[in-house]
Amino acid sequence: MASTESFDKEKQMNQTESTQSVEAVVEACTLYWIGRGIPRPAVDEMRAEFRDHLQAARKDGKSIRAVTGDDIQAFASAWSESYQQPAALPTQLLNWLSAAAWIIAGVALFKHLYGQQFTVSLYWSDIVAVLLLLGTLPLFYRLTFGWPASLSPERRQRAEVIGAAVGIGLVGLLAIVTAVFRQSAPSPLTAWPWRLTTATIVLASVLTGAALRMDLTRLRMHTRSHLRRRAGRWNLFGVFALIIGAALSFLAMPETAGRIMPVWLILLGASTLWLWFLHRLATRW
Amino acid sequence: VTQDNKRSSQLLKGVLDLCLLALLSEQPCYGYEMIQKLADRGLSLVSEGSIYPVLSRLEQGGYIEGYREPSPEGPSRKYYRLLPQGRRRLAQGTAEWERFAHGVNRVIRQGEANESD
Repeated sequence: MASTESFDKEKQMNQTESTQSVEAVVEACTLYWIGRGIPRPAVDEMRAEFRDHLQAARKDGKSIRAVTGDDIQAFASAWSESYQQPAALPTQLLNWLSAAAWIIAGVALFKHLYGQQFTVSLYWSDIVAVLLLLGTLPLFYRLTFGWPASLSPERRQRAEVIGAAVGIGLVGLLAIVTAVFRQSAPSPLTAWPWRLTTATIVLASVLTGAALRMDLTRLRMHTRSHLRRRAGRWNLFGVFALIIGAALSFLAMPETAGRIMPVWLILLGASTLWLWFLHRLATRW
Repeated sequence: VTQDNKRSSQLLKGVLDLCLLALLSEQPCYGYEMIQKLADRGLSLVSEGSIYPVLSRLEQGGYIEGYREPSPEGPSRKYYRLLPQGRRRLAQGTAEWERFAHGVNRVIRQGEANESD
């Protein structure tokens, strides 16, 4: 999605053919390759080779189009095809396990914060909520990292609309399913102490760190200025979510219904900052 | 870009891997150098960058090898060299091309001969 927008911008810039557009086209292709999940060492090599070729061509008075053809995205896509490989099974397994651990930790933390209790009861409805959230992960992955380039723009747009509708509907669905399961199986399955929540967070962190470490396509935030800026924005977002969540908690904690939003914001802010920290750690490991 | 150039570029795309292997059999080259050598021999591509997907495939197939060399014009440059498997592929490809070109020539010349009769 983001990479397609960059290409649209680049296509317009290509009309003017300024010297700066060499960098802009290289940047757009780099973002596209990153978005397609090409291993970072390969992306760095392709980027250097492409820039070298464009600069040499410019010196000889050739246009960017003479190098890339009319469709820059098609050019970038053709180049990336030979590098695309599905993630290895251990990597996929690690990703799913860490996602599952995070969802369990998230649900448990929510219950601790919402109920203001160190030990919470675990119901069947909680397990259903975790499974539902796990089932929607592929959708959120696509919404975050974009759809395959092979998908036509119309289908991509349709998929985004459906994705947004499902995202909005998810909250309502979760509430309905949780209520139904809570009614049909009202007795708690087991007690869930805060120590278990802490252990789940530690386990999820270790699994995520290992998954990031194994992921050759991961972004290296300290190497690119635009990615550094993006990381900075995520941190700000996390801090704001925490501050607003804490402030709302202070104001609305006594009311049961009003507790959901502050708790949700605190969880969102904390998880954003924690995942960023894990990413940094995995990069420098 | 004229229609003739487009047609020539399309024809070249079909044998681009063979041409790149042939150039690399002479000496190691970097991407832009290959384009210049092709142009010197009267072959040009509508989009020069189309050599890179081919080079990537040849590299991943073990026919050629990429390595970095310092460049006087700036940062180090990626050069390619032919590997033994690439040399064998070139020999096979050359034989295939000669058979194909011979067949096409016979068809075209027969057509010309029929027209002059």
